Amino acid sequence: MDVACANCFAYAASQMRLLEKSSVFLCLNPYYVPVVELIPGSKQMRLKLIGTLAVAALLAGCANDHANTGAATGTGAAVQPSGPVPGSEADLVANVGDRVFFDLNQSGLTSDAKATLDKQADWLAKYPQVTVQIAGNCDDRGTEEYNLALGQRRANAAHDYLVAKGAAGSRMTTISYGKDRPTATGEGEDVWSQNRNAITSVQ
Amino acid sequence: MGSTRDSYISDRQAEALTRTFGPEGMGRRSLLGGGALLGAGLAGGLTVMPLGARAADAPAAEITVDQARTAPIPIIIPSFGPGIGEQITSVLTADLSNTGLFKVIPAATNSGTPDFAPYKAMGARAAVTGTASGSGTVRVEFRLWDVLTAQQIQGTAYTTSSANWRRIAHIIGDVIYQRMLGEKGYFDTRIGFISRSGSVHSPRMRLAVMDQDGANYRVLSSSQTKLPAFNPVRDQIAFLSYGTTVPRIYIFDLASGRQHILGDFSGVPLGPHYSPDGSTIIVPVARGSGSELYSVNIASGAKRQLTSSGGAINVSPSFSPDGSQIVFNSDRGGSPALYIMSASGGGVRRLSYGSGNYGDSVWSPRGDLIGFTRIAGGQFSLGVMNPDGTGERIMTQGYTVESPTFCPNGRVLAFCRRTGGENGSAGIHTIDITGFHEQAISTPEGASSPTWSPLNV
Repeated sequence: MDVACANCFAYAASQMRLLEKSSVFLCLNPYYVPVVELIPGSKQMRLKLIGTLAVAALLAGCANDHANTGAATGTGAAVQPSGPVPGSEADLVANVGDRVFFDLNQSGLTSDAKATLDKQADWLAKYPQVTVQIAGNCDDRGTEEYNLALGQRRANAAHDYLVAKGAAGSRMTTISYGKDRPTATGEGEDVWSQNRNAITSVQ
Repeated sequence: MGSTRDSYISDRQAEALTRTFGPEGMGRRSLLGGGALLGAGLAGGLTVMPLGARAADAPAAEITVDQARTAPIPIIIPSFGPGIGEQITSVLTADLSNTGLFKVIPAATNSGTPDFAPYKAMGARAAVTGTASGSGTVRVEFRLWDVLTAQQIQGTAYTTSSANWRRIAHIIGDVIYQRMLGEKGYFDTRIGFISRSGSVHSPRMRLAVMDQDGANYRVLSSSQTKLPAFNPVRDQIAFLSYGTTVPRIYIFDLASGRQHILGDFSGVPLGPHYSPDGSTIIVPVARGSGSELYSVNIASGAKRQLTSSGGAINVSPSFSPDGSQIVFNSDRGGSPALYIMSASGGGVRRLSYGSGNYGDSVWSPRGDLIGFTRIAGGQFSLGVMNPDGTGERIMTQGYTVESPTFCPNGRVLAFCRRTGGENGSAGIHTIDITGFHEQAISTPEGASSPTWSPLNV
């Protein structure tokens, strides 16, 4: 089974546990602290991030399938307080921000998105050996093929901004997953807004 | 058999045609000795023999599909006997009932001339008699009768491997459909689609195919696939393969199981879309902020750019049945809407003006309607409109209803319905173009992106 951690959105099936009485999966992190609250809303419970600082602090410890796999679980006693390996995926996620978000049916970069991409450009300059993939994603309020094109448009927008900020195009690839890889599931703008993104990941 | 409107061709006429064109011209419906597991060909072959009329020819009393929608045709379908006979009856009954155009009345096995009086009293309009005999090689005889005139409309014997019993049932269903309604049926067809399994956050998406009633479900690919398209004339499915490598378009041959790549593009290819003659595939190619439509000649590989919209998205192209026009989906006007242009890319004009976003444009093989998806207020609708943009009508709605694909005679659409919520599911449904008789096709895993095959040959 391939599930995403509700905290860090990493996919690492063997290192996941199911939160009781929910469909929420979390990394098996010895320093796990719940940063989500389950809101007994309509029918399904929805995730709500309690605070970005708390999330960022925790992300450093979350397992990830691209980098530092095992570091978070390890023996349980060997977790380093110094955080993720510099230049790793976890480093990008925790200290830079791996994703930017888009408005409904848009691919224009917001000021928040530009701020994140500025940091990504700096980070890429700092670790010149790293290559990344930028994946464009959409909410599920569009059709399959249109969203595939829209996701590519978003990935290209992030890619082109990074190139303009000095990152070499040869270090970056793009892909669109359309609406096939939602970060959050469910209905409503809270969910959809999380899924309209471009996610940078270390290859 | 000439035009699709000549229902109630008499057996005498059919026999005359057989004499004119020979048994090969009339009778042989399929490849002989094809042995194809996935293809449409019947393994072991099929021979078809007309069964002589036992009474004078029936008058050409036509019932139209529209009339049958108002008043389904009561038809007696008896058991074709034990074993395969019973199975054939069951599949035939389901085919006819699922159209909503027939009211099937079951009856006891009857291989002789029916006693029409009680059928007439029941209000039956037509009656079937049939038998299935043999094992290994099976001979299935069927006759269609007009209850009002007590005359045989059609009689045919099919001899084939017993493994083909399902297809024989569908073929008989198609004969009944055509004789009663004057249009070709669509029971002997398949639906290609994407089988979805695993996490909703990163589903495994594989090319799959099944009969139109959900039987013979088969997964064909192990790689990640999207947006399959059945070739309208050949036993092939084109699809987008993506995931670990650069996205590419493949053409999968169902009979041989082989596949090949459809060229390279200076950009990222999206879904393949066939021309009606199967010679050309239109591919939207994403580059920069937009995606432009390219037509690719499959044989020569020659490409031609059809749209040039300066960064707009252009997707979901679909040819008119005569190949002269293309309807497509574009956000060149600000939000996704439907547009139409000539097959060479000229004369673009906007087709949809309603509120919300339009997508998934698909032209009916009948030519009379364009199917589409409309998204407004967070809800999806599935609709049809006339090719001039008038007469828009919504057939069904839901959290997600999308990817419409017409059956070969244009009377039914298959589409993907997804439920919302944390654990939303995706499945393939069918619906009559009037919006009635929506039915789910049962699949072992999630299913999306249906593409309806042509009639099997």
